[in-house]
Amino acid sequence: MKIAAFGHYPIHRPLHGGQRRVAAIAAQARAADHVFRYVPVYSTRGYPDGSPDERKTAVSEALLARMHDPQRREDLHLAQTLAGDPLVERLLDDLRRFAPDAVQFEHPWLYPLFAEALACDPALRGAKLIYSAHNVEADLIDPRWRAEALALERDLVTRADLVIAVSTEDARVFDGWRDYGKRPCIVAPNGCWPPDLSAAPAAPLEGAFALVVGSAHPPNATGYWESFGEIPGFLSPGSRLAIAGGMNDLITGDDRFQRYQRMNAEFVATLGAVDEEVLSALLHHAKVICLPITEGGGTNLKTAEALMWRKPVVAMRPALRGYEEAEAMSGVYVADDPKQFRTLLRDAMTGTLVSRRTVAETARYGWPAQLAPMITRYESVLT
Amino acid sequence: MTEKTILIDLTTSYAFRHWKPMGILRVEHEVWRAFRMRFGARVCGVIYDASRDGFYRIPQEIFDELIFRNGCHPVAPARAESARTRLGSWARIGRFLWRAQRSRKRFRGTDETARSAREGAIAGELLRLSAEEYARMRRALVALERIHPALSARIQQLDALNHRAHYGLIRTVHEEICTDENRIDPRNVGDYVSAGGFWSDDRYRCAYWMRATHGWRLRYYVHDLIPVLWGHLAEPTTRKTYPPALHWMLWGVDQVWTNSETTRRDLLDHAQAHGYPALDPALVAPVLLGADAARGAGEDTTRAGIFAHRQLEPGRFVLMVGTQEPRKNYDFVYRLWRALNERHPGEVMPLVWVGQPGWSIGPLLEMVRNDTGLPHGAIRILSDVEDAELAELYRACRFTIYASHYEGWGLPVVEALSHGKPCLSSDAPALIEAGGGASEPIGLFEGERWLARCHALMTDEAAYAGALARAARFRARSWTAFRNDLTASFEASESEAGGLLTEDAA
Repeated sequence: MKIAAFGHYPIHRPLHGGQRRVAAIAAQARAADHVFRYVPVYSTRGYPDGSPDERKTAVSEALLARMHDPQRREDLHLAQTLAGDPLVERLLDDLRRFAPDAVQFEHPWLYPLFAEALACDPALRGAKLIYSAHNVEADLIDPRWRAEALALERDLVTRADLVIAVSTEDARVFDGWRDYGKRPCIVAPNGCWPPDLSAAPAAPLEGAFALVVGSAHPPNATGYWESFGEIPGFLSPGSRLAIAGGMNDLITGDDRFQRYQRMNAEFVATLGAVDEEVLSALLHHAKVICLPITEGGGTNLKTAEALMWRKPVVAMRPALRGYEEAEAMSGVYVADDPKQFRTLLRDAMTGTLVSRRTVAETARYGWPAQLAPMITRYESVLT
Repeated sequence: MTEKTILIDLTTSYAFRHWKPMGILRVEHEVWRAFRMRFGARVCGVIYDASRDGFYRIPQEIFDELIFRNGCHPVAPARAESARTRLGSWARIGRFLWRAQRSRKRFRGTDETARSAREGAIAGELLRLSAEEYARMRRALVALERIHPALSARIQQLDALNHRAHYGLIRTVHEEICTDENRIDPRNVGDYVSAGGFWSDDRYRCAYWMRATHGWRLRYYVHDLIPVLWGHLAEPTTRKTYPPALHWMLWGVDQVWTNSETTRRDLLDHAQAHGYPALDPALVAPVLLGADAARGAGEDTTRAGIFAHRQLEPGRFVLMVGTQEPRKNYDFVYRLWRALNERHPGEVMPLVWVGQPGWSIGPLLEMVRNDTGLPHGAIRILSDVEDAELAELYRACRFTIYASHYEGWGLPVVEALSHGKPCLSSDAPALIEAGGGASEPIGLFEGERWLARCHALMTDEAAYAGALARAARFRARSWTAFRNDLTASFEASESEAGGLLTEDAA
């Protein structure tokens, strides 16, 4: 089966959760012998490290100022930004030549560019429409854009031949929008690649540390402040909290961090963006993995990643959205409020709370298992 | 079995020995007295030395002079006058350079003895140059530095040594204390008591590791949590150094005393909110401070002299006491006095501010001094008041004001009430607590109430009599009671610890 997928970021070097999911879908689809072509239409300002192939479909320099206009949304208004641009015609020509069996949209934002062609173009109207959702976007977007996002997302969900959601909760919302008798949504939760637990990388930090990983997505910073607070009282002298990923800059640039600069210099290791190798080493050596997630939708693949490493995980309850059953596992500690989060973290760091999860228990959170419901249904969309 | 030593950390008193023993220094003194009186020779007064990372016993011979009598300050030695002629000066410079080089060779080595001897010899030679001759030599060396850049470091070293020689800092009392003989052997220590500014250096880290490696029981007297709870109103350095110090303390402490129930609650809440190890509330006890020292009566002549000198009329001024810094809210009281003078011209008594200038107060003081809307002398700023004079000011004032944003305890409230004077305070919890129902707390947003109450206490005798009666209800606590409560609390906790040890041993 030939599938053409569109998204608004490159996946050559997947960093944030969305990139990792799309990269995993591509890998699993190809592993199942599908011809899967992913076409990113993106800003080189936001993602400067696309591959040469990916750069061919990046938004032109001339449109970047409009795309990043603070009065508009880079994602929601992407189709409007590109309307009339030669890139769109080029994408359509490529799509016609590729003659896909199905066209898949990661996020709904690019769909308006292709909606008419997919409905009317003789070369494309036979292609099935797949919506691979990452969240219920209308629920997460700023209220001032909600109506616009909802109309766009709902239109795609209604028309799609197959809708894939990341959680049963999201699937329930989408099913509610779809006409009676339409195929129900498939749930393919987020996951991660199984870590190599036998590897023994060098420790990137001295001493015991708790690890938090997050991109520059603003809710990551909100979760950090709400969960950890300004003073890391849960860390005994000699131990640290390591922050990896783009969220680092959101945290260190914040007044709340600067306020306790001397204390944070001692107890917080601000690592910034790290490559995969370092991230694996951090996960390998961390005493505790923290999931300070307090808002956002969908399911968090950081959660799957944390669960796969068999060490203690301390999470705020929203982090377990879509992984509710994991709470019963050994070493998974879930807090309902920040005080409880900090207490659990302290006890995990001092060794009072431990983990005895097994590899067999966590295998279900690997990408192959998580995406299987989606990959195995691709063929069914043709019938 | 020999009882282990109780260390009383007097580093803060030592570091600020040139200050009057107020605030934390006074508490540290009283803690020392309390333990010394109760436990005698088992108690040892120590200071912490950061460069040597250890605690040092203060020798008995200099103890009182150093801690209680503002003594043992460096004495600047005599320095040579300049030679009569320029040639003579250059000859001296040549002699210095030659002898300094000779001393370097003679006392070669990096060990403490060689370094000390070398410094002493060169410092002696430096004092045989006048300050002007040193400056002349320095200019020449700086000129040479252009050809030999390596001289830069030497010049810096020489400057530092010259400074120390000039001010008598080559061999100070510190070196006398920090000897191997006075270094505390951690194995002999059972308890460590800190009532000073433990956040000022690394003493809290050293104590933490001693607890971890030698089983010291650490006991802290905590004065407030202002640098974390009211950081914006805390002095900038303390704002940085206090949070990590409190952090280490909360991870390794066996008993905490606080100066108020407010501070106790602040500490327990802070520990709980941020995930610190749970503190046993029974081991966090308020031990309220004494205030009886402030009440002694002065001589009539002294009193008359004070008021003449300050141009104040006894019974016709209002007093506000406290370090001049933003947290004390002098700004509010200034605006209060401005508004009172606008509304009741000619009826408002002068307001006397007594306190050392603190951080970030300059712009406000400048504003007050230049405010043409405020009658001349309406606010008097006194920063050089001795204890005896302060007692007289308390005795002679009409009433007192203390509008601080936040405190761990309210000593000026207690002192005012101890003198039988009405005290209008803000409604900061510790101030209400310190007033014991005898002060009059008013919220800082209740401006009209402040205006009305101040005016009434200055002009309405019936209202004033009522306020005096209220103040008279106050019962001042003595320092003796403080000392007794402190050592009783220590002993109670010690006996519990002893029980636990017995159980473990069994």
